[in-house]
Amino acid sequence: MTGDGEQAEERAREQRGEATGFEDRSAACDRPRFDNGSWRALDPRGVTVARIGAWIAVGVVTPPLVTGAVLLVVLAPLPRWLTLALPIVVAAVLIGLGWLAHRWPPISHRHRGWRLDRDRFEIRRGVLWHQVISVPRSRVQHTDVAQAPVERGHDLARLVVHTAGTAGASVTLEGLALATAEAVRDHLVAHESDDGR
Amino acid sequence: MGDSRPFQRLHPASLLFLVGRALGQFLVPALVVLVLGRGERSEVWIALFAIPATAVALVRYFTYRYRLSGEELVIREGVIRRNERHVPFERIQNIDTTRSVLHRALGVADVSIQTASGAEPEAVMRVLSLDAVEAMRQRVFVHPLTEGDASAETDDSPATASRRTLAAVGTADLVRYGIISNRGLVALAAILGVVWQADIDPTRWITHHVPGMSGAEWPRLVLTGVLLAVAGLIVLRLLSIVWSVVTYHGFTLSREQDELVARYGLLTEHAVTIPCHRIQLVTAEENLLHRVFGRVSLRARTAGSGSDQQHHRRHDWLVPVLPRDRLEPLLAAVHGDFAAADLAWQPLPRRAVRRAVKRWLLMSTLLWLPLIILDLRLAAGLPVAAALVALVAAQGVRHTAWATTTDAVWLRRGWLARSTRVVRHATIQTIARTESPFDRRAGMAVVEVDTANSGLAGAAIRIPYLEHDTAGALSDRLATAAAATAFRW
Repeated sequence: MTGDGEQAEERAREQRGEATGFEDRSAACDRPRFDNGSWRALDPRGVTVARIGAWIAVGVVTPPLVTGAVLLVVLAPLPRWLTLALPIVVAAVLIGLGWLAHRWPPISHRHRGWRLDRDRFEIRRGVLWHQVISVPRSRVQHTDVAQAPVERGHDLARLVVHTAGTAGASVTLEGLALATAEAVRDHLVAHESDDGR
Repeated sequence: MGDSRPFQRLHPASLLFLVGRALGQFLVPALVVLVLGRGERSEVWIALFAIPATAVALVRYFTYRYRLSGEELVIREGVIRRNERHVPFERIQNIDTTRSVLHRALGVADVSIQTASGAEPEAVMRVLSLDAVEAMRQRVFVHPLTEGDASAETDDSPATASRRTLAAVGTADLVRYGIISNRGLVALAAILGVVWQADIDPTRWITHHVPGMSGAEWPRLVLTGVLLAVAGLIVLRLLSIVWSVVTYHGFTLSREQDELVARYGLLTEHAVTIPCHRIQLVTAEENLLHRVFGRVSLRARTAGSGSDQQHHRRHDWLVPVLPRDRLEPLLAAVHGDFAAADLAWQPLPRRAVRRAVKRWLLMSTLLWLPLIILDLRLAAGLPVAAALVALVAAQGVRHTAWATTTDAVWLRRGWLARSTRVVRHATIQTIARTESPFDRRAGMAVVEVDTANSGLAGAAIRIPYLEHDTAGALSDRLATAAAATAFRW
């Protein structure tokens, strides 16, 4: 029985006092209840990580954008108004991107969540396009818990649930606390082997 | 996995086919050498190619062995680089046989074994005797179904184990199918290939052999061109009919326990086996020509019959052509346990028509805008284009309907060309419910159901413009139903 091993591990983790990120965990509960089907938010530290990622993206985009604009002004025979307007446009775009990099992650965070009930794993995401994806547990082929460098620094992880599907062959949930991601993974995988399917 | 049966060789006739294939690869170069070599030791050149090829074929035959042991197929091959492949029976999707005229004369078959791994067949065995193939089928597919899958037949008694024919396609229907499918191009491509190889220049041929074509008489030229085009179209359809009749001659689909077996072919005989529970998605297609004849084409996708273009284009037909009214009974027979007669088709809400029309009017206007900028007079065309687009959009929504049965979800769509799709709960992988900003304003949502190998277009079933609550209830229901079934490859 793999379940026993996992439970023991879970218990040990709890005894070490590691946060698993579950708000409704009562002291009496031997094992955190994952599968009560209520929606859970992701770890708030995920906002910071997403911001860092977005800032890095802005940082990557900036040099070519600025260089391009400078080259255009210096080398191309542009009309005078365009020469004046170009730096303003580039600056506006960069400021806009920077603002977005700062503001978007918390908004996106508010729209993201996950839940687990007896027979399925669900995530929801999307600010403009709201999306809820359900993965029946018996369809989980395998799962990954991955950590990018920045995520590692903040003790966060992303959970990737793979199915045999085509368009939705994998479902990624970013911004989980590492311990939570591992617990959910163990839960999904344990369920699978318990059923002997 | 106890029993250790001895390894078997392929049928001795394999030698003939292997050598034949090996030589076949050198046929064109050999001919070139013969023709262009002007007799200067061309035989030596040919021998130089042919002898090693033959030797390789021989070695291949003598090193290729297979064994059906316990729960798996083991194939050993290779001399220098030895390879032993184990294919568990459980993973085998289908065992297909192909028999050309020569195969049939010798009582053997090319066998290809498919797993879910995708494009390439897991193993291609050329050639096996028919008895060996039958033995393999028995061993691979007729082992007991272990779990209570929704698709497992309840009456597994030996009495029902016999073959039950679900559909047979007559020659008249094959002629219709030839007209519908218009595969004449395939035949034409082959002919053009020959012409290309033979280095015949058609234009020169025409100018030389058709009287009056040497001069530049334009009206005549145009007329000839049109006549040629019409003749070409007719010839293409005729070729297509011939192709259809020859390829699918004597098509029968029968159910043997949990397997569907399709047999067809006049010259080259095919037998395709598809385990019912491995069908991921069934699609019934009707284009305009189908509807003229009152026929549908039925396709089934298994997890294995993938993106492979050549080999599987033909094989993912469940039935190439079928009378329209036989469709639902056949689907019921294929899946065994849902009552197609009780299908309660749910239309999309009426508001959906308005939304679709609005959306496509906007889209067509945006697309037309550049043309108007180019030339103002083109603006006159906009109302016509917009009206057409709106009509198509509205009819598209009106003809979309979905249904759920105890073990499957159905989607029917299309106005002029129609399709019906069926996905069993047991093959659903994920369910996604999406609301775009426009959907939210209208209180609607899209439900998408994904299966293994649902194709390039993405989700196997996509139901747009559902009422928010309906979408929620549907996706909930499907998720619960899917979770209650076991997915088997």
